[in-house]
Amino acid sequence: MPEKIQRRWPIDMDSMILAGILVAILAFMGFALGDSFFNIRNISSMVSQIPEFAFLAMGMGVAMITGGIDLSNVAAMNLSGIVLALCLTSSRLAGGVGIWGAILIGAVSALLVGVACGVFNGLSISRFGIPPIIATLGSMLFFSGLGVGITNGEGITGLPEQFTRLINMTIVELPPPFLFMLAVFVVMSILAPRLTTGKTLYMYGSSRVAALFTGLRIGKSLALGYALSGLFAAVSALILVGRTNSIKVGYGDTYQLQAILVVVLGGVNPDGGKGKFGNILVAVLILQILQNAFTLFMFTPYAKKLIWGGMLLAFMVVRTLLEKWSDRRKIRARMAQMAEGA
Amino acid sequence: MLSRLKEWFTTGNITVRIMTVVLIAYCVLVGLVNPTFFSLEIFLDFVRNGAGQAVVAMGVLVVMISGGIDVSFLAIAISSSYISTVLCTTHGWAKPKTFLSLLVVMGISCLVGVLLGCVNGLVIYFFKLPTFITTLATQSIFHGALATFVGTKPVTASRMPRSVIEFGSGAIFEFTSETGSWYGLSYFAIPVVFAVGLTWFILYGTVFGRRIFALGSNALAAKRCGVNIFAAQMFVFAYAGFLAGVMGIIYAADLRWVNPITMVGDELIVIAAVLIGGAKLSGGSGSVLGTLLGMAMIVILRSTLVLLGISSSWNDFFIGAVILVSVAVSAWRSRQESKAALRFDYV
Repeated sequence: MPEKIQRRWPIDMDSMILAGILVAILAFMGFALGDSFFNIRNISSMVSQIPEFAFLAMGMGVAMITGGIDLSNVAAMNLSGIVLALCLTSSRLAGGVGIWGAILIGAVSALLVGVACGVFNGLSISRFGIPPIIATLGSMLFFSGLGVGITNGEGITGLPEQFTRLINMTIVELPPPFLFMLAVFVVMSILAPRLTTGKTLYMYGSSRVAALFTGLRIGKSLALGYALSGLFAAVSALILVGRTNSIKVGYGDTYQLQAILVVVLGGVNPDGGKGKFGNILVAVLILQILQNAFTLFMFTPYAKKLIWGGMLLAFMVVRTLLEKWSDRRKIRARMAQMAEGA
Repeated sequence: MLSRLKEWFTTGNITVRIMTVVLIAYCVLVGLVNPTFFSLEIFLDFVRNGAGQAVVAMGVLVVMISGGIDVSFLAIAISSSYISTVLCTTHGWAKPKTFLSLLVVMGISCLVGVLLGCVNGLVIYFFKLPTFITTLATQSIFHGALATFVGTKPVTASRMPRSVIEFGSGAIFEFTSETGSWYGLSYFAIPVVFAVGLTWFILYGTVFGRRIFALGSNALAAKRCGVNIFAAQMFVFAYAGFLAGVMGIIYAADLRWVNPITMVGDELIVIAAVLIGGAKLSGGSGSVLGTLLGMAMIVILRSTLVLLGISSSWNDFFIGAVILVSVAVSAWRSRQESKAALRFDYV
């Protein structure tokens, strides 16, 4: 039985390293900060901050598994947040269908905007063959430009209380966005490597030419993948708007680098083809705990920036070295085998 | 003359041809709506506003031709100009209002830029990392390190070396308009001409330039042909850092203010200009003329939407649209070419 489990749920090195880092950091926090870290208020504030970032990171993960990147997801998040806020603050809409109707329409149209942004990216990558970095760089300017144009660059505030209360309520001490995030992570890590679209995207990430020759429906799968990234951006917009009670182009700009950092830390190969959503979740937790610790240590935002950048670079370097090392070991084992055979 | 023009037009680089037509058409459109657009004053203003970005765009172009991308140049520009002005003011170097003292400030700034560029090059060469994510990381590192270890106090106009101020306010030649105000060709034109000329010479006039093209087209083939990949890769990032150092001083002179904590976000504009000008992320293509036209397009677009009666908050939207359309056209064309030649580099 354990062998069967082992086969079905293989534990790879990335997961073990990540779990080790998480435990080490938690232990360090316990020693260094003690109760100022492990208290209900601190932990519940962390739990409420995680989901909006985790959804962005998941979208980035989908894009990076295909060997691409989604630089536009923060801009898509802002755009769909703006659409949501416009629906919520429109007195005409609230007068017509009632406040709950306005919330429903706002949420649905925000999600649709997110999906539309993602499909736009996916099509410009698969139909026109624009490299993902450039396609999403251009669409990032395009989406945030649209947001600035609609709002004149000003923030939207004064949202109805019902919406913020809905996002910020708690079920058994835990906020619903957090529970929803956990559920989505579980679903993604089960379905992504099993559904045809998911498999296609993993294969496309590991070798584009080979994927082309297998006759897989690459264009459709890419569009779906980026649409998923856009959908996640919209979900995080719902959470962000509910949490901050306002929206403005430029919210969450620091998430861009952090999302890439988390995905790389979570063992996703930036060249594509490899990566697990469970590991991304662990990486998100690690980042959030560190973030919290830096705030408790009162680091300046610049010191944080330095550390995030340094971590991203360090992880990529370590990753390359580890891969080189394991390749060399494989070759050596193979040669030993051949020598035995001869 | 006309036949010469016709000849150039039928044989020249297609991206450059399309861009010239689009640019002229757009200028005519703006001129028709608002005739004040066609004036020397506005043109000279474009030169001044686009100077810093045009200089650094040359560096980004060289990196993109070699098959990489550099998004850390803004952090390099801020770091190098801040370190340079702080050093010069605290040690009293570059006090006199002379050309030589400007060269000292500029030289230190370029040196810091080259060093930071070398950091990019070393990391990317030795660990074979993707250039975009690496330079994104180093951008954070450079800026974070500057604010953490060097300082966060801005250098104000009163403390700035006089020569830098003079560099920003003076002009090579001046006119007085009918209303009495004066305008002229800013000194900023000199570094632009220098950067464009040097890049042109390196790319088209030296063997090393051809090697950079070779590295970008096919790194493995270039290596087999005996191109020193290390030297080429180090050079492109160091060169981008060097020009970022120049841009830093231009910005300092323009704003009369070096603030190490705010990053004036123009990275996207510069990269957009290089892309619109025909450079490809996969490397091996791109031209100096195309980049200049791309820069001109963006600078003109940014400052003329108001003349067309569109609020300036729509600037980013239109620039994003221009980028997407132009890269879509060029990607589509190269995909068709690859398909026709049965190459599978387009997927």
